[in-house]
Amino acid sequence: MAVQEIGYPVCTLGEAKSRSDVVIFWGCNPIHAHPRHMGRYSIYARGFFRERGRNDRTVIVVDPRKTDTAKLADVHVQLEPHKDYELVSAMRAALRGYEFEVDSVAGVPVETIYEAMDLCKSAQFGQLYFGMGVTMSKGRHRNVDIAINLIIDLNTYTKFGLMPMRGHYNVNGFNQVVTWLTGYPFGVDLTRGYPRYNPGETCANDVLQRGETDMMLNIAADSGAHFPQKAIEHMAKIPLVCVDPHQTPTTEISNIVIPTSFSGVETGGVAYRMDGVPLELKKVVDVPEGIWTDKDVFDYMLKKVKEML
Amino acid sequence: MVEVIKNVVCPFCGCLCDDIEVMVENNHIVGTKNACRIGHAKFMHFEGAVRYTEPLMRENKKDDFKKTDYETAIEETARLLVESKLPLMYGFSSIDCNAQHAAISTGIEVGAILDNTASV
Ligand code: SF4
Repeated sequence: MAVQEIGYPVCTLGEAKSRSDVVIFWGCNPIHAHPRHMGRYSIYARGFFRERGRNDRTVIVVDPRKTDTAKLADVHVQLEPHKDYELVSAMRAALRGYEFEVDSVAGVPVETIYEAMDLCKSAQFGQLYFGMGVTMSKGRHRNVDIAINLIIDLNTYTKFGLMPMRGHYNVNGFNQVVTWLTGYPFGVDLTRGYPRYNPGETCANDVLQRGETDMMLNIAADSGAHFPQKAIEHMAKIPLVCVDPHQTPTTEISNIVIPTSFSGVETGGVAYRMDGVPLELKKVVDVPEGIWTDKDVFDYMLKKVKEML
Repeated sequence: MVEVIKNVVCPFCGCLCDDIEVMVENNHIVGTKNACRIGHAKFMHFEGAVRYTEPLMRENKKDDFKKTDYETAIEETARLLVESKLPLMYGFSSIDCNAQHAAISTGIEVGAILDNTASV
């Protein structure tokens, strides 16, 4: 949401590899969640202007936990959980040269905040990667909002970019396709015949927790394992259809299960990388006999829906 | 005969590493090169836990599933979508863009709420 209110500077991972000399990981742990991110793109990769790889880059990790990624950092900003918004506000203040009247903010000593900001200011090309730790902690998309403001501030000194670390391989693809078709990137409400977008009102969790939706089609996601209890309770009450190759906690509470093939293994297709670069998926083995692909299923569903309307 | 397929894109996280080599023998993946721990494990065991072999349906969630065919399962889903006042379509992040296009178009036709894992 934050992203659409303000906009933010982007670059490809290739550019980050060639140019970035200060890298911040905020609320993400690429060593475990995106194991080749540091090696291929962000830290160890030897880029055109960063021939020495890791030695040419300063790494700052912002995380309340001492993660394996944090252990590799030059500076670990160990904030108290859920104090992201506070910390970014302090960073912006430090950047503008304000003096603090306290010793620490959000559990971080002010010297560390100044040090981190000095490093960012002196960067030639900085890059901030953020993960679920930011969007799932208190403040949620408002945290992203203020992080974008920090990046805007930093851009008055140097070049600085920001990129969300995507979990599932084609999160970005959905955001691209649905924006192209409806104008909004996610949480789009078409029930009134035109697209509306208001996170907090029109996202999956909102309509489930308020018990408003009366039918759910769950597509290759395990919402039954990851949603809040209240949302799952409602899912268990309404007609639920799962399109998923596997048995999951969500399929257990559904009325219809439609299995499909695996894109990128059994069928080709297109997916968008976290930096927005589309890549062609490859088929390496055949689809098991009798199984339809995702595209077959939704093409047929679209046809049937049109017949019924 | 083991066939090596080069420059495969790994469909298991947002990095989409595009330099994976996949070794295939008799339509089975027998090895990978360049993939990370997660990518390798997923390519080797992508069929994972329990994989469904045909569509399943049940009226009441307390009953056991009955096997059915694709046409029936999808038609019933289409009917539910059309009859629902506020249908929610959620997920979309582990299917390719062409399938997303068809799924989103379905949602636009019936007037649904469309949302993915980016919002959680
Ligand atoms: S090889 Fe690893 S880092 Fe690369 S896309 Fe696959 S899971 Fe992600």
